[in-house]
Amino acid sequence: MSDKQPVRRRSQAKRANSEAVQNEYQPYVDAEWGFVNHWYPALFSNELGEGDVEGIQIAGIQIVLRRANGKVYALKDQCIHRGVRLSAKPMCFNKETISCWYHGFTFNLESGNLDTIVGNPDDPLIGNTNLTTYPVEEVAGLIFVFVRSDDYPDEDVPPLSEDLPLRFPENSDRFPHPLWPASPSLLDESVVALGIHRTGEANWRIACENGFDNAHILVHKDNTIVQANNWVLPLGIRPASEDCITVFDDAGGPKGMMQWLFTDRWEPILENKTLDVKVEGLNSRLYRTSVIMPGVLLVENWPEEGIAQYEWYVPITDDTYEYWEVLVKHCPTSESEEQFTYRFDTVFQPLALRGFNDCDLHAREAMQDFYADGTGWQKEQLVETDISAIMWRKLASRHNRGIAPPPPGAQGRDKASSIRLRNVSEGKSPGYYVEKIDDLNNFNRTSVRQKGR
Amino acid sequence: MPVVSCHFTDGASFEVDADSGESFLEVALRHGVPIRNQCRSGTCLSCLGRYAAGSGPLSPRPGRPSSLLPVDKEQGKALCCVSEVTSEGDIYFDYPSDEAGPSEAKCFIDSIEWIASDAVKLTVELADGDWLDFRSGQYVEIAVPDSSRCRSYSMCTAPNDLPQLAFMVRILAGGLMSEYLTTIAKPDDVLTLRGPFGGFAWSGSRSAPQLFIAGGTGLSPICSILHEIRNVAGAKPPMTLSLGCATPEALLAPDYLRLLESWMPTLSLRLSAEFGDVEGAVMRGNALTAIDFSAVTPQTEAYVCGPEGLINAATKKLVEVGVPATNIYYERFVASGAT
Ligand SMILES: Cc1cc2nc3c(=O)[nH]c(=O)nc-3n(C[C@H](O)[C@H](O)[C@H](O)COP(=O)(O)OP(=O)(O)OC[C@H]3O[C@@H](n4cnc5c(N)ncnc54)[C@H](O)[C@@H]3O)c2cc1C
Ligand code: FES
Ligand code: FES
Ligand SMILES: [Fe+2]
Repeated sequence: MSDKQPVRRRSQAKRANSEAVQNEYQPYVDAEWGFVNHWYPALFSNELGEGDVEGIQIAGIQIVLRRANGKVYALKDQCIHRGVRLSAKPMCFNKETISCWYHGFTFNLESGNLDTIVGNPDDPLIGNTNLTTYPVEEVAGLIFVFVRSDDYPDEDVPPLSEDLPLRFPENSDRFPHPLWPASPSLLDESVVALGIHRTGEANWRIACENGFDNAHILVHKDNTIVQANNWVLPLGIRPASEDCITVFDDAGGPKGMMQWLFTDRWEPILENKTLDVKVEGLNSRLYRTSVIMPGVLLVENWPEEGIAQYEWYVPITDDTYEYWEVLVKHCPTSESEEQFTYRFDTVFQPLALRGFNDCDLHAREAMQDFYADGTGWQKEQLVETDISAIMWRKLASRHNRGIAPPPPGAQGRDKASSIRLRNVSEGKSPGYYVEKIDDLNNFNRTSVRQKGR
Repeated sequence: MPVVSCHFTDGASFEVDADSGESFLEVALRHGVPIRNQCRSGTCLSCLGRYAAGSGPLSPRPGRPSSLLPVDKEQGKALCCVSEVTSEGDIYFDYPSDEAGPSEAKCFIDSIEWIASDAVKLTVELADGDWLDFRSGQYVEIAVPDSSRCRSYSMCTAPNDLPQLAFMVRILAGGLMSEYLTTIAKPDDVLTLRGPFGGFAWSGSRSAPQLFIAGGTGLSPICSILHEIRNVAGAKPPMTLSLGCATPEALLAPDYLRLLESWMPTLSLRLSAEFGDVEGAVMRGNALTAIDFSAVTPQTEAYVCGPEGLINAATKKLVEVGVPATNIYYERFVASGAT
């Protein structure tokens, strides 16, 4: 650099950020876009039929899923040529590949290799480059994808069970509970999983921390399902012992923490004399929560005996997450499966997953602005019930397999892009799925002008 | 005249006709061979080359000191700048021929904070339009403002922290850079960097146990390597970091190191002090006595950075417990003195 040129600072914004105080759980604070190199649910199995192609986004990484000969494949949904999303207009000439609809770069589903280019089959690039692929597991009607950074080695991909809650009865001795000796697991045989997923407008961490916040059950006080069943749901549950939470982080196993709720390690608060507020319910509704990397909630014995509720708060961008709620139950007979399905449709989905948990979506959204610019993590004033959130933040700082960088060239990085603004003006909010091109002959704009007629 | 063939990792090779009596580095550079270099005095290891076997076309020039250990020479390592050609043969360099060499960059001081009784952390940000790539473990020269002198400092940050860089600097009474940093420098002042230099870098092995031995600000390049390992995708190797300082108060950023330990499940930390009131997790002794060498396996890769004495003692001890010399990497903070 010549001395004659003025020496100037870079943009001030960047500097303010890097001057942020180093925090005990700084890696968690840095994980605005989520953690990578973890297993996340991507779709329900029935959302991806034979031959179907869908595009989604997790932790800022665009992913295209395709089912061919029954098997689900996941590849980076960003063409290596010019960055086009393959899923925007799926083009597949056979069961082994997926082609980009723009210039025909054709990728092997299994390896991601550039197998050919539709209109340029002798190009030297063919065979010498590839798209990142993502390992896929399909269990109990859910498609899980190992969302990884481009250089994460195949041989280091952990089994799905490392990113799912503890299983029972193998952990019943360590984490006993007399009322539910063995909660069902997604990985069990004869298990049925029914659920929903949708997009919430908040950072994934805000959503996740809400899931196991023992003071927040106050927001559920007036929920229909609580009042209709006369449930005793405390006003809050406060930690009453130094071992109220147990961290588990065995090598090769899930990394998470168990909250010993409704034991003498936690004290349920049923009355506040200052305010003259009392819980009026009659029927106890006991449950226990644990949270596991990369942000999986297990609520045992909820919303009914013999059922476990799983939740994921899968980061899409830094201000949207895909909220998954899945109820898991052992149904050894087709009769019991039918009963569970009926009850899911008539009670659990409308009153629990929607009604009860919809007020959680409200609460998470209400926190978002406070944390959005990063200052909330420093300004928040915590109380003893927040022990759960802080332990989780520390645990996540230690056991994450990678912090997702703000994604280069992905949807939602630029909050004011013209495409985003147009979509919003057309009534489509930023979400989880790719915006597919349904009519190539029609770029539907209201302001077409013509002349010469 | 004997012909020497220089080979680079990108497959490029260059032939050099040379006579003895002149530094091989000088001759090779004249022939356009891109051998890394900096000090040209046998110290910094930038111009390190290897022979296929124990000996090769170069011999040490009489009367020129070099920082190679006897075992390095047995294994056929040579420093081009203090060697001369004595026969025909091949020499290999562990980097590509087309890599950009050292460059100059301006930066702004972000902060200077005390991190121990006799050390500061200097944090800078590259100026708009300036850039300086490096590998974790390398160092740069910083020009001392209003003087004609430069001082060498190893980054304690990783390449993906760019455009920010930081250095852990020991403050010496009466030292030129030390005085500048503690009495004159302030945020937003401009400094000039030149680099990167040095071959002290992470091997990239994610399976071999990694042992880091640091004395004082020798911690700086090791911190950089730890950050790189934290950022790398995939399973992490088992790591031990042993930092020794004179007194507990001189231990560098111990709280930050404990945080790193809590964020890296495969890292274990040993802190030791030779003198003063030792308590808590700090052990009495030095970076070497704090290590349980019975647990050190021959697969271990060791990184040593600190005073001369520590490097020599560590190398001796590591070789004794069966760690091959090729697995031992070190960086010396040679005193700048009156130059
Ligand atoms: C490759 C390399 C990397 C280095 N990296 C670092 C680093 O990361 N952090 C760091 O703090 N230093 C590092 N150094 C040392 C650094 O370059 C300077 O030598 C040191 O900071 C002193 O500079 P000064 O201008 O303050 O003192 P000077 O004005 O150079 O010296 C003042 C007095 O101290 C003596 N002295 C100089 N250097 C040393 C020394 N290293 N040990 C003991 N006495 C000395 C001198 O002989 C003189 O009497 C590195 C050196 C090299 C060669
Ligand atoms: S952008 Fe995909 S083929 Fe050109
Ligand atoms: S250039 Fe040869 S040792 Fe520094
Ligand atoms: Fe809730």
